[in-house]
Amino acid sequence: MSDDLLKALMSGLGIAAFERRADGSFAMVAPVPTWFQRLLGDGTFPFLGHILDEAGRFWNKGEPMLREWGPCAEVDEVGRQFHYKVSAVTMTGRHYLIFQLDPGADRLQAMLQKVRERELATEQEAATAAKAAPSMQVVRETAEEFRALLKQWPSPTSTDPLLELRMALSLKSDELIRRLDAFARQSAAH
Amino acid sequence: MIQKKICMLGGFGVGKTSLVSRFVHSIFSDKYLTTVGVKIEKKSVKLEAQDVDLIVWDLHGEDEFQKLHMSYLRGSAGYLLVVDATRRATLDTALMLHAKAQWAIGKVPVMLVINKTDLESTWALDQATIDQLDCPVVKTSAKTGTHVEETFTALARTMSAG
Repeated sequence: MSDDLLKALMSGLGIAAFERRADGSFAMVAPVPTWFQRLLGDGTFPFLGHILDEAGRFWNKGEPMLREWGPCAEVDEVGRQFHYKVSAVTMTGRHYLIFQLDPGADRLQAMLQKVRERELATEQEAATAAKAAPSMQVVRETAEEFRALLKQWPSPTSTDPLLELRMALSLKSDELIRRLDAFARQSAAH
Repeated sequence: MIQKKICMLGGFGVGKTSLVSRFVHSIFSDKYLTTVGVKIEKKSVKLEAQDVDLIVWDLHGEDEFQKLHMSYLRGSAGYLLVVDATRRATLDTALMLHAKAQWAIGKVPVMLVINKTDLESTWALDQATIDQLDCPVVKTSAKTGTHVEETFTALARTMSAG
């Protein structure tokens, strides 16, 4: 494979590759892909911190292998998040630092986002219910007292002008108690 | 300029990324965006004696789906333990991570950050609990920016003094 083809392939695959020189500096192997330009800086990658130290120790072993770190999250110029991983590679006695997009981490992020959003919503509902519980109990007791008072009223006759109102009040108090009980059961289920 | 790496530790959804975002970019978004892996940011802070470049490692929140690898903490000069004041369980998570971090990298400067002061009416932590904690505690709001800059600067100052 020619050098030009290799460079085009790396760029097409979104890979940023650097050869580590003997003095510890990095030389670009191929033009960096667009997503990496914000990370390039002066080409010393200080943000990698201990990853560079560990990569250095790995390269110094001189064994033909690969070591990976990540995923690392970053945002593009329009604020969309993406992930990449960092690899140290030793090949034919030369040392490389590789940055690669990590679509697997993007998928994991999308999945965890849904799970955690749901969990946060559930926690919030439970907290709201717990906070409301004492007030709900007071309302329930008041509704029961109200129903008991209605029952103390003399037996209605069919000519009682307030019959309809009394029946409506009784039904409403029953409904209120039913709703409060349903809310309490729902809260307990959380 | 001196560079110091600091890590953000805590459960998921406590506001680690929001605090970093407020500190580095002066922005806040109400939309929760979960972090996978690590997000690395950089900001310089001015101290009396010297300026310090803070390399902030915003680590993913710990829960049953994502455990935090302590290797992320290597080379860290200090860390912030972040708690969501409206969720009591996040304090337990933070304290567990504190113990793990101390085991992994030893004693380095740390501050416990009680975030979401803007939601004080829904707090699930009381002052007595906060008073029992054995590390410096600061109350912040990534939403309003309250004490965010001061927190990072205070940690940078402690790290530089050490």
